[in-house]
Amino acid sequence: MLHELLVSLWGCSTSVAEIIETDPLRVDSYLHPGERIIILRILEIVKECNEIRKFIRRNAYVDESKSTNKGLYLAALCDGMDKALEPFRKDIVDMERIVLNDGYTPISMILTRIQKYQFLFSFLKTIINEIETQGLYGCGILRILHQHAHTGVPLVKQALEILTHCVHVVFYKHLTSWLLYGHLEDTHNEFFIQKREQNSELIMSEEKEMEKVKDKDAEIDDGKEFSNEMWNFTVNSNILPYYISQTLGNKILSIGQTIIMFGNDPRQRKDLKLMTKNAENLIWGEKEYEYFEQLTILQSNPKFALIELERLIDQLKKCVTQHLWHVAVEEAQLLNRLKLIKDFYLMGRGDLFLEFIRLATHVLDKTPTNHTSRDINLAFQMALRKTQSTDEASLDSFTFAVPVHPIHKDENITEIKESSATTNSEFSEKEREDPIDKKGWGLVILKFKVTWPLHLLFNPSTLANYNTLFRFLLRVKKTQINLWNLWRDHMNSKKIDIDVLQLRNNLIFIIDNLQYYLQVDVIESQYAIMENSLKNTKNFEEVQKAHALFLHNVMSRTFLISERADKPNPVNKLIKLLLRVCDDFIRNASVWEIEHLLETEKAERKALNDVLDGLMSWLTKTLDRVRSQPSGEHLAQLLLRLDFNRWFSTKKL
Amino acid sequence: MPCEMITLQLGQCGNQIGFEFWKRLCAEHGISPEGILEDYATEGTDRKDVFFYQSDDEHYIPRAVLLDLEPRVIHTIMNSPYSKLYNPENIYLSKHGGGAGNNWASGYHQGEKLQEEIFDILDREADGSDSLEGFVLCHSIAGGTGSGMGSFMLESLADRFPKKLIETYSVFPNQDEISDVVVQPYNSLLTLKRLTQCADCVVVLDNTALNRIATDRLHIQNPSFTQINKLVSTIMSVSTTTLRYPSYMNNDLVGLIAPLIPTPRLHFLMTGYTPLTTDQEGASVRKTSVLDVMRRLLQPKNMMVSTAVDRNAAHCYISILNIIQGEVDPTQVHKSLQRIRERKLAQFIPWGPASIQVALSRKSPYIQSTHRVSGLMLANHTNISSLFDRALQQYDKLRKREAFLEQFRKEKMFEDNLDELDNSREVVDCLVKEYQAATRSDYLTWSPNKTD
Repeated sequence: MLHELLVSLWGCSTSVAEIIETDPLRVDSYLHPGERIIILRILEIVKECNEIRKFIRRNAYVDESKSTNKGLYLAALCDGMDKALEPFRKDIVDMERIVLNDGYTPISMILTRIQKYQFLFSFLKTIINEIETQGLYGCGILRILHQHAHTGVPLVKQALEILTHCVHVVFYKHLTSWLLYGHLEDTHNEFFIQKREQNSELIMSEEKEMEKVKDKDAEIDDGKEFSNEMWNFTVNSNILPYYISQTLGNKILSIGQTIIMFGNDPRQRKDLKLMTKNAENLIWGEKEYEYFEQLTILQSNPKFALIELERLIDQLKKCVTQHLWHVAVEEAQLLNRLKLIKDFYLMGRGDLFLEFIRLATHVLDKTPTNHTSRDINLAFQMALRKTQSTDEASLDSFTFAVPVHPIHKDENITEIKESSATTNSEFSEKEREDPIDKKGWGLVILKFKVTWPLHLLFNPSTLANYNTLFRFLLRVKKTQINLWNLWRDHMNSKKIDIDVLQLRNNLIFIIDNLQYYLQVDVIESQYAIMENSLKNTKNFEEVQKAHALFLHNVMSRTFLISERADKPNPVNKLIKLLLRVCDDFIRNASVWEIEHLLETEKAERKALNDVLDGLMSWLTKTLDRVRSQPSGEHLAQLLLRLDFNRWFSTKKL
Repeated sequence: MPCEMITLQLGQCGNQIGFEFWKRLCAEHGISPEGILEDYATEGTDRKDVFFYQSDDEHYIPRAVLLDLEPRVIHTIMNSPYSKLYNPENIYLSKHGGGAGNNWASGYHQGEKLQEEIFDILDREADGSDSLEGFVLCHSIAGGTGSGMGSFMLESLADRFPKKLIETYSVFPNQDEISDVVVQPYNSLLTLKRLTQCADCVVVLDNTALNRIATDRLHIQNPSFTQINKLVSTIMSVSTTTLRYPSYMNNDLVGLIAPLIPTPRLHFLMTGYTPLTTDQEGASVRKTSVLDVMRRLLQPKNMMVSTAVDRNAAHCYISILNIIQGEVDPTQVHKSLQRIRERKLAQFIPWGPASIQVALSRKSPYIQSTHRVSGLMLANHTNISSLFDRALQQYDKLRKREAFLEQFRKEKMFEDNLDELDNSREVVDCLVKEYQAATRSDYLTWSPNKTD
């Protein structure tokens, strides 16, 4: 009978229960009623234990064929539970020995020895319950274990440690393969870093468009897909264990992403496709082994050492960003690329754009057609050749595109303008719409071929910002050149109406100083600041930060983005109107009889002059009003340039 | 290649400063005296093509035309190491070699006679350039060839190339020493008329100021022509530096001078340069920040034009362009401008907007300098009229005595009457008046015919 009990405790099916239930008479003759109750209580425990065993049996093995299977973490948990039952099994063996030695062992001995396991069993059952009712899986299991981590019962505590450790082994294996190799061997989606199914459409569509333009080389297309792959991973915060913070999670994510990116280094792909497999070695080098060891140590540590993990992750992160810095800044020559960006998008190569504008004016003055893009590219190449740009990189990197008249876009612009009509009512909506927005000048796009791995810095939205800057600067420069040409014409005849000269001088002065402000006070200054911070860092994240700051500062100081999202930048509006006054003046003045203005021409001049005076007084007032604010330093700079001898601010209207 | 400039060197002085200018350009661009690019200079984003073109055998050849009526200076050039630099077809020496005898009228008429040959050269140069921006003329206004033939060239260039800019570097005579050219006042006045009417921009190089700077600031006892011309070549090269080392702005001549010259006749520019050092004393390195440089540029002692104090008018700047070279922190520019405005270091015209424009320019990597920052100022200042006023006074003195007029009467222009002289005087006088009017707020209503 004792043996029967022990065997059923071991988990085998016996007839103890049946005997007790079915044949009370016979039992009574062998057993004291007290013993019967004891047996019943033992059988209770057996039942609990069996439920746990059943759970273990059900989940312990990962069956690849069944997709409903719950995965590695659960299996590890079961494994752990099995291990946690080990002392219980030992006790049974021990008891068997006692029973064999002494046939008169009381049945209560068995109960006393196994009663303590009841806590364990009920604890395990709670966990099983929670997992089954909440349908937990993967890293979520770690959460549950963590929730129960505080317990005073030594046996439970021991068991919990074993469980946690077992599950963490799987966790660490995932972590190691992700951190060191960027692989996510996760068929059951259990790790807290997961692959997204759908990529954000925006990036993809832009990239695809780029691909279309470029050659259809299969390998390059491949590379494109792969370089996108890294963005497909995210941290699933639903199953992120509580004790791993979101920032740590993100760090882990970015390390793996970087490694994936390196794995897809197009430079290696060209050499040998197999090389990609070894790409990770390039990052870690000799340290790979060291980091692997450290992770293994952490893994074998029975307690989860969060601090050490964080420290290690920081180390890895540092290593990765430094490597990235090395690849981006030294190998991909980031500074050179930035210089190109400045030279082209930000008009650093003034001589080139002087020539480009000269060659492209007749094309950009018209509404774009299908062959505008081609014509512009031709003009650009010609300008490059003429200014002796021996730099092959710039020739290859930049191309122009002019989208053909998008009607809906214009409507948008009008809408925006209409919504902003509250502040001034002097100009009607029709006048308000700048005709140049519909011409080539307002639509031209400069495209930059981003080399690997600098797409981390120059993503499509960054390039869109650069294009906004480019169009603005191009517009200013074009206006300036037209004004200068007018000056040149005026120099030939010596008896020009002084008022025309004065209007022209004012416009030249304003545009020149606006350009000085844009190029020196904003772009050059901000560029110098960025260059300095790039020189002082070896961390790619700092590089990204510095570049983002540069772009933001330039955009806001050139008034192209507004402080408040709902309202267009007031200074930008005024500058746009100023540029239009220039356009109008240039157009009119070229047909005026400048030595003796006709009455109508005088009226035209007067009207332009009045508009200009109004705008300038408005501009100086606007600048003056906001410059005292802490963020208004750059406004003071523009004001100083425009109003150096206090001509505009003291002028009476 | 866009924005090319053709340089014309006229007369003894013009050829001397031109020679120094080309020497300097060669050094800056790393071009050897034979016109071959030095090995160290093959990588570079400088624009050599503005002033040079490349021959079929890769030689760099200056877009320069050398003209003189007497052979001395040109012979010196042809015997120098730079003799192979120039295109020999561009060197024109008059056959007789007798010079113009310091006579404006003689120079003018000889120019007239030689115009076919000279314009053959100029047309060929103009055709050889992609989009010619304009001409640079180097000459002195006092002698015979530079002033007389220069005047003729100015008129014909303005006539034949109306769309091209004409910039001159005009050397004004030294007032501190007695000139051996007695008719200098006549020559100056006649040339000034052409500079006023035909040139688009005149950079005034005042020998008086240059000599004073050499003695007072550079401590050279008796400054030689070479030493003075070094100063001149510095000014010439720095003032063209934004054309040759392109950056974001001022990359063509019109962009450089249009903001400086608001009305057609007020196109005479002063220059200032700092720091001033000679080859011997390079050691006295002072602190050079952007503000220091900009402040020093506003000091009269660094100006290359000697202006007298004029009590009749409150002279002021019409416009200023500072070209700053060297390692400059662009964020400092604004602070310097602010300081200059606060301290009222510069007075500006009361009739329009005006400010100091600052162009940050790259420097030639091949020329070592002990100074971190150096600066050139191109300024349109009303007080330049005192220079013309001085020329008028000297002319009047001479004219009253009817002195030395016979050599002029020998030439065709003055055979019948001296109207040309009177007319020139009127033009120059009017120019002085216009500059004086520009100091007042009612300048816009001023007209030359109104008496004030």
